[in-house]
Amino acid sequence: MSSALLSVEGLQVRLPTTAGLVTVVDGVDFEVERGQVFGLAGESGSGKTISVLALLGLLPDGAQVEGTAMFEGKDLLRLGRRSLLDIRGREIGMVFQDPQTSLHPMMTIERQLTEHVRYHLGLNHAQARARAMELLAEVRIPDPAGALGAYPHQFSGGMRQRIAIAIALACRPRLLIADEPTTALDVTVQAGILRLLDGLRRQSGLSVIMITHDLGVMSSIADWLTVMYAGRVVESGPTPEVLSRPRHPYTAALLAALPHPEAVEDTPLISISGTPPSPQARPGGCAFHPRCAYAVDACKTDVPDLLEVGDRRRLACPVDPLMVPA
Amino acid sequence: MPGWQLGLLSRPFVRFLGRRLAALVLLGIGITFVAFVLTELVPGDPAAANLGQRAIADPAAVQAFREHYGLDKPLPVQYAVYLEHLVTGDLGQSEQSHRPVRSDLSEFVPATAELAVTSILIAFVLGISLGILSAVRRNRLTDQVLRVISLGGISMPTFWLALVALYVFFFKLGWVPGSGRLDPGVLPAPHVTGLYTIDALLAGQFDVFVSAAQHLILPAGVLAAYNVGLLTRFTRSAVLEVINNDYVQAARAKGLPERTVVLRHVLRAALPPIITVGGLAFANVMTGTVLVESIFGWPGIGQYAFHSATTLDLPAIMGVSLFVAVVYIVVNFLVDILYGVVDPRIRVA
Amino acid sequence: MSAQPLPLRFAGVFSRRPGTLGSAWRQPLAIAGMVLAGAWIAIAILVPLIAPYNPLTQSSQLVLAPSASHLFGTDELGRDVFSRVLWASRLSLPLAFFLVAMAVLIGGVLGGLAGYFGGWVDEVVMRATDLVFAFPTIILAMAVTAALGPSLRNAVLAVLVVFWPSYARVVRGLVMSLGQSDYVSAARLLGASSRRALVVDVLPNVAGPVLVLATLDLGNAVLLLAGLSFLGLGAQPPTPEWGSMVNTGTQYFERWWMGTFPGFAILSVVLAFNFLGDSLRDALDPRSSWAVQR
Repeated sequence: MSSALLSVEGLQVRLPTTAGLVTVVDGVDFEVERGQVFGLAGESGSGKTISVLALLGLLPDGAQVEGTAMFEGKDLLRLGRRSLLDIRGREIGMVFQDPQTSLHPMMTIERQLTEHVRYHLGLNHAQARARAMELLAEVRIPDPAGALGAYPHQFSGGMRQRIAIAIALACRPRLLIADEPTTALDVTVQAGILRLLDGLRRQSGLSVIMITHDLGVMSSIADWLTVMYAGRVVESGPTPEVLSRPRHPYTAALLAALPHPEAVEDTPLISISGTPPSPQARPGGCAFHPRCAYAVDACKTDVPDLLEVGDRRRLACPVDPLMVPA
Repeated sequence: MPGWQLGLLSRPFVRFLGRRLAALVLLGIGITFVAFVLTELVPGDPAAANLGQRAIADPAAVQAFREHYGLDKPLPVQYAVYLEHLVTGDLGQSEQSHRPVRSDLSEFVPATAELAVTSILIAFVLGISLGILSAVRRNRLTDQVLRVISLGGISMPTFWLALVALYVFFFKLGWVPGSGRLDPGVLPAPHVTGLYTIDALLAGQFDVFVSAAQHLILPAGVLAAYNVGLLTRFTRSAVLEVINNDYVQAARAKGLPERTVVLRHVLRAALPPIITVGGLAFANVMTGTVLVESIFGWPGIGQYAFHSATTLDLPAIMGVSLFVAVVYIVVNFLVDILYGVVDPRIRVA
Repeated sequence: MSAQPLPLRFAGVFSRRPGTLGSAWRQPLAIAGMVLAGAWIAIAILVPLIAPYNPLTQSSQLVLAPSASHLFGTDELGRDVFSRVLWASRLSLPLAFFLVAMAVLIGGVLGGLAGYFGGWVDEVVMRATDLVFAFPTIILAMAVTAALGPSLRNAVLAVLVVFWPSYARVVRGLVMSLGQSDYVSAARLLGASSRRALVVDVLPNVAGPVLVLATLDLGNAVLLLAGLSFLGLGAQPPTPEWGSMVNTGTQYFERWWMGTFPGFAILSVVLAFNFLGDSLRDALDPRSSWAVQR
């Protein structure tokens, strides 16, 4: 396990609210290997975004974090402010969901691409500018020289996201965190972004944490899939495995809810009854039990542990109703 | 792709400025109309008021006056005459000083300019810094205290503050000199701009500079009080609007230190609304000078306006109002330009 | 799956919830404002009972410093300053309320019509507001009052001229944006008449910001009236008015009590309205930024 680029163990995050501290992430373990695209899936409220924000120390004031996150021999959760600044942008880059709002509307593209590069790597103006041109070419922005002097609002959504990716990768980090990078984009543009990310990853051995609720995106780009529900990991494994042979009832339900492009007309859409619980109102025991078709009495009281269930799969469901005999 | 650039000399921006300039000119004409209407509303015979006791008995003088101002012609013609006079800079004659209003104004403008510029500088520097501080320390003690102080600033009648400040700092404590722009016996430096401080610096006369600065500080401070309160509040809310935006979080995620994030990213994004307050701040200073210059014995157009108001010297009142309004719309135009400089999204609109 | 992914600012929303120190600030502010405003309103109503002297009675006790018998001292004509300060509230407060109410009415109606009908109605109203906004407030008020003749009535008119455009703008903007809003369109689709849509859906949403602006304007009205009276253009002697009293105070500089107390009265009244306006704004929309300032 020590060969993993990032190894998170027992991550717990509590955030301040009117009703006191609320546990948003409740004991999460995962590893990201080098050169891997690590998929983190889940609905809103599952804690996936908060987990990665915790890694970068970007949580609001008053947040409490427990657990360890070993990255290149350092525990990210115990780093001081200075060391965190060194990690952010330089060793770990981040791309946010909405490129409309994640780029500064009043700064030129050049400025946004070069300011952290100069800060982290000490390049001078000309060197930084050359670097910026390279990056724009890598992410396939036409006319990089012209683009440098332009402003974000002059670009389309897809191009803005490419620029955001270029910014995140400017200092050649080892890990890229992409939080719903394609959700705000048109479906037709999504494929281009995913292809870009995949290509960049293959070129440079970059690891990517891909956060999305879209299982279709997962299947096309993620090597490893981890599913979160209500602040905990419920299932993880190689993506094709998990998607073709899900073992957690939640994962199976998510897959079943996807409309099938080849379904017969008038096939009713299946949805999971109920809604995901808000962090303040999580049920006791296994958080999924109120919506689970296979729940037994024990599920209401016992929090299931995430256990190895053979062949690099992990599962947090003692009932394991979908286990397909080998 | 050619035509990318949205720089300051780009076509879209120049067109934007052109539109603003056109609006300025139209507004200028509009305010002359307002001033004209107001002068028409004045009850009584303008000739009688303007010419004084003796002249009124002389029919030739009265007739000349009437012709000069077209008083015997229909209203639209009178307006045309009025406009014609304005274009040549003729603002009428003061009933008090019996000099052209224009000469009165040019004598008094530099003093007020010095006061206004200093006051606005103080207000912006202090107001923006306190506003940022207040926003960054949101809801903590510093913020609470600053919010109360800034509320106090915009609730205070400026003329009262002037009185109290003068009483405390001059009369009781003797920290600052009393009225006027310079100590008695001190002569101003050779006239370049009319601003005593600048002129003194240009001429290297530091003792004059010190004297002028000492006299400047209290009036400028009093005038700035309202604007400091206003700017603190505006900056605070502008910064708060912006501080949780994604691009600020993205800047942090790039590993930039918090101070850079706040001063470069947050402030930059919060600047546009703060800049628009600049125009308002100028108006407040103008308002303040009318109320405050006479208290400080500051020989500016504010004091001129005050005396004109108390003596009902109508040409002077109208002349000052028109002058200040014109300066105000020019200032607003400059603010618009500045807004376009700071926020490139406007340049396309 | 249509579940929206967690927005990045989810984290920020947690710490901004009411109940944290943020709302604790709001309560003392509102309370202070209400107490202060209430006190002044009570004074304005009860002044014949509580003022020790007749505000117009001159005496030979000229420019006396504050003492037990004259709490705020006497002025240059021997009148009791304390009584005059109290009696002035009978002028400023009702006038301020009247002014704001009228400005809201005139501005609101004009702005509403402009926003609703658009076209040339909108153009005319907008140009008119532009013209008023082109002048710094007191300059225009001063010019209008001087042109019409210095009196309290004309000062009130002048302030009205200067105040109505802000409401016109606000109401117009709100009407326009709401008119295009989805739920109003939905209401119309469902068959509700235009007029009904206007009253039931648009009006309550307009009331909030207008109320905030109006409360803050109460303070501005007091300040502007006092300023005009200070210039000699508003209340005429011997009527006790805070602004003109401060003016007299500047002529009797060493008799600090003559100008200080009336000014203090203005400060406390305006502060009260600003406290109220601020907490109102916070209550209506904790995230709102700025309202129109003068």
